[in-house]
Amino acid sequence: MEHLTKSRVNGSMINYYLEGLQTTLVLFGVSLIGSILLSFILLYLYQNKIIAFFLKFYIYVMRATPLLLQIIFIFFGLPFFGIVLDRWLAACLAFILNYAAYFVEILRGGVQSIDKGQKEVASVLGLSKLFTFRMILLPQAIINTFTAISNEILTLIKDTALISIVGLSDLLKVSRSLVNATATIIPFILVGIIYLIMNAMLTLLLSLIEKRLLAQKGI
Amino acid sequence: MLLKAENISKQFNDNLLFQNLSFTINEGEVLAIEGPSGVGKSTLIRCLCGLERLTTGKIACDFPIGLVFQDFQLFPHLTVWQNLTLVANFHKIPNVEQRANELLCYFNLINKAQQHINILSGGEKQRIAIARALMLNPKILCFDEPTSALDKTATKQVIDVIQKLQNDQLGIIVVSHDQELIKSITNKVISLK
Amino acid sequence: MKKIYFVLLTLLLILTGCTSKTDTEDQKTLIVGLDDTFVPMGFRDESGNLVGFDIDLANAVSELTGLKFEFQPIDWTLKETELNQGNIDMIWNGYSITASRQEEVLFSNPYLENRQIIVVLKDSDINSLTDLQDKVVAVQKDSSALEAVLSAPEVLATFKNGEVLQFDSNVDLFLDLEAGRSDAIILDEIFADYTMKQRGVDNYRVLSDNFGTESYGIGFRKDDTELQKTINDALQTLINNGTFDQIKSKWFND
Repeated sequence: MEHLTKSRVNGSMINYYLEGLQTTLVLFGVSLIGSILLSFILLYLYQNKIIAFFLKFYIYVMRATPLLLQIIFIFFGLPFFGIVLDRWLAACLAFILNYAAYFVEILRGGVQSIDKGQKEVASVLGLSKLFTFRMILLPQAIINTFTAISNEILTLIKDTALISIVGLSDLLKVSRSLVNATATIIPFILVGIIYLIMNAMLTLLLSLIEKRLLAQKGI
Repeated sequence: MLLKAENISKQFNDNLLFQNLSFTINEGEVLAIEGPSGVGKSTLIRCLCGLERLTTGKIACDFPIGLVFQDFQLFPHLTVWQNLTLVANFHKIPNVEQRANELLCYFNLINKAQQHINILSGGEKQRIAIARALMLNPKILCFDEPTSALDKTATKQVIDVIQKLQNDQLGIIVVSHDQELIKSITNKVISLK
Repeated sequence: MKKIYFVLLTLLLILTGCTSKTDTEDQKTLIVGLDDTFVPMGFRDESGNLVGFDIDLANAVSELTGLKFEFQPIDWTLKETELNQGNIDMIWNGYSITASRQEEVLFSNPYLENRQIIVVLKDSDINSLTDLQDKVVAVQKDSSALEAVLSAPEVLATFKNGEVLQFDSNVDLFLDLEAGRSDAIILDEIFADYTMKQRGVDNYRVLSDNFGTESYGIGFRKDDTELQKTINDALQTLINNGTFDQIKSKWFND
């Protein structure tokens, strides 16, 4: 990724768009996977009362402040505490922490809506807490809340546009540079179309996954 | 002797559900716990299975004990086969597939192995729940209101199953207010008031 | 389930591997921060390549001094923060020398003159500063144009709502002017000239009143006096040997 946004001299317009698209997609991919994995871990830890207390605070902060502010704080604010992260790391970290909070809240609701008897039968059958969480509770929570999760994922791909605040060139930033360079607004329109296509593909993929998940329950 | 309860009692808030109960379960015995609704029958059986704590008294049991829930509590996101094998695999029980096949055959559900839980009938669900518990080779099997959700045919099947398990020298504990069931299978009765 | 976790984790590691910096860069690589929409000083052309007067000048300095430069687009409103935190080592992008900026950064010698001009649409009825009364005026966020306006509060007070609109980049200023939402924009003459030529000089008019002249300089951290000296010396050499004028005539052919 060294070539991205650095001293580019031999590009072409198409490549420039593609690089912006790549930035958007990589940020999306890393944030999505990272935040989902983190949310699983945090959801499991939530069972501990002490940890739950701190988690509630973390979730509140993440959901009550703008993601843009969080990105700025992690990249520009943390150095005042001696923590200096590079642009990509700061951006990914901000996205992962932010979205994990949303996913945890959603999944927690999903777990709570599971019949209490599931936990009991798992206990009677001698299953460990971790195994019960992994194989009984989490899958059902995901199935129960998949629509809400999908909505967050669709929001995530749009939120990637915030990344230009730390100097990274995503698709939107590319369009702004090109609008400047070409003195037309065609790049805006083009990029808008690309977002539409991405969203359509993502929506399709998510609904296919949802069908698959519901099939697991025989629905 | 499989299980011995000595002077057990359970207080829940202001309610004294049962006190000074003592009993034993031996191989091949069926113990019924009867009483009106809300008297604490389910709580007693849940104490035996470790889901709740006794207020006083002691339960001595060195053998695996299983519980078939009133609402079966099958895992809805798994198939019949997975419901049987998941738990057994966790405990690293040998010959899991063989055992699962045996149980499915015994319960006449071998052709439903790949089905999802939600399309099974009440009676079928119960048999799977029993099979799942049996996968762990318990020496004692508890039933919480096994016939409350079933019709006459299914009830007859449950009675058959319990009698077979009795013949296999398991200890059975049944919570029920179904007098007919109790009459047809039970050796001992505990009445809670 | 286990398989899925494993796959996800692997994907995550691969993707983060893509994003991590390689530390093969020479110790001496200095990072130049810029707003990559600032024509003609440092901007992206249609192919996305970084070009501009400051780019060429920096490359000339680099050749002369042996220092290695790398260009990093940044958010213009955070330029001093980026500089002082060490994310970039220089601000080199039509960076106007102003009193308040001098408190935060160290400047090189001025190398180009500029004016903060007022641009309106051709058929606008605005002809002078006084005509800006009750009009919508816009500038770029955190620009020296903004500073100039703020240091003339009696003028600012005459604008509509007593405020000046602020946009992320100079591009937005022209878009808003053409949309008719902003009646006038205040910005660097150098940027405006280039853009107006691009978009059709006849669509606009430049007022004779302006917000003053200023010079461009390169911004360094306050304690980077050595770097400042090196760059100053290099600039002087380039001026003396004619390279500077060459670059100038490439970008500013009046």
